[in-house]
Amino acid sequence: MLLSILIGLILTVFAHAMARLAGQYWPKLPVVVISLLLVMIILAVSQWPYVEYYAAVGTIFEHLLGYVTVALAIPLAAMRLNDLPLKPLSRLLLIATLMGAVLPMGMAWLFHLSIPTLLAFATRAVTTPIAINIAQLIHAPAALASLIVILSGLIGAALSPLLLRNLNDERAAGLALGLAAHAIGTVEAWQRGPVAGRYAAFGMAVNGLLTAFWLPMAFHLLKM
Amino acid sequence: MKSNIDWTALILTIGLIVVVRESAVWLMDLVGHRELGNLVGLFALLAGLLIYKHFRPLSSRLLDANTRIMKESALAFLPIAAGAGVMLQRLGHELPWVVLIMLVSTLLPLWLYARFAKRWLS
Repeated sequence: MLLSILIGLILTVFAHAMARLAGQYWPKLPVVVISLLLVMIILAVSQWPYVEYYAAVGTIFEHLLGYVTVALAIPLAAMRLNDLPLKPLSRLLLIATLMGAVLPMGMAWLFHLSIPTLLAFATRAVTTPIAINIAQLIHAPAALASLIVILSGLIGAALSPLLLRNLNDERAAGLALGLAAHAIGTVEAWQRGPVAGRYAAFGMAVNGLLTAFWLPMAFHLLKM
Repeated sequence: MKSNIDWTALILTIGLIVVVRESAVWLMDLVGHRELGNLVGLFALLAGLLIYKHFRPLSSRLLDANTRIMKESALAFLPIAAGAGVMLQRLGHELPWVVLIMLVSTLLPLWLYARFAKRWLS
């Protein structure tokens, strides 16, 4: 088991280091996507089942995820909100928290997907640790909710260089990535630079907090 | 070649994050909600730093060390993210619709928020 943990750690760190190196030569390629593709390729080539790989390294990386969540407090505390127009910013945050739940759930309803799948889409725009908590409160399947959160984060991070290529505003790019693609989008925003990273962390955290506040209450009221 | 990493600041920043997170998880474990530990840790550190910032500005060494940590934070998501592709296969006939919903509900808001933010923040 100890050997599996060591090999899993080396594999993961190697994939991350290679992706960071590739990111220096090709800055438009999202580091998260390159590194996860590298992990998947190495696992496939070495015929190491994903379940066994995750069993070896999962606990360590769940701890790391927790530290990253807590570390987001530092860029948030460093933000100077005095210079920002608070009224339009509040309007954008309100639109984002509502759209984050209503748009995917509305589409799932239109396509006649099952109720558990529809509920799992409620937390699509929220970062994983908050999404799991909300999913438990609204009785949505937590595993499917996590999958949707992670994949939509990857989609946002992977295609953001293309979608935001003519934006020329790192604050707007960061905020959009944090609001629409949460933690993985925030990681991608940090690759763009500290300004985009801080705004992404702000957008992700506030969106998560707002959604954690209204969504379980709305479900509770609708069930009454 | 001389390294330009401020190791003291980096170690102290990591130490601060680890202590706050582990304390929050321990505290929430005591009240039977261990799963809220990370969020409580985030709020506790944010509250602490905002109170500190009220009296003294935050150290640039702390902010630089944190920027370095955040740049490497992709590593923490790697094993879970790699598993997302594997889990997709279990969705059965709903898979194409789920993928379509994820694409539209992520990319449309991303584009819209960026345009709104550019117009409204300037």
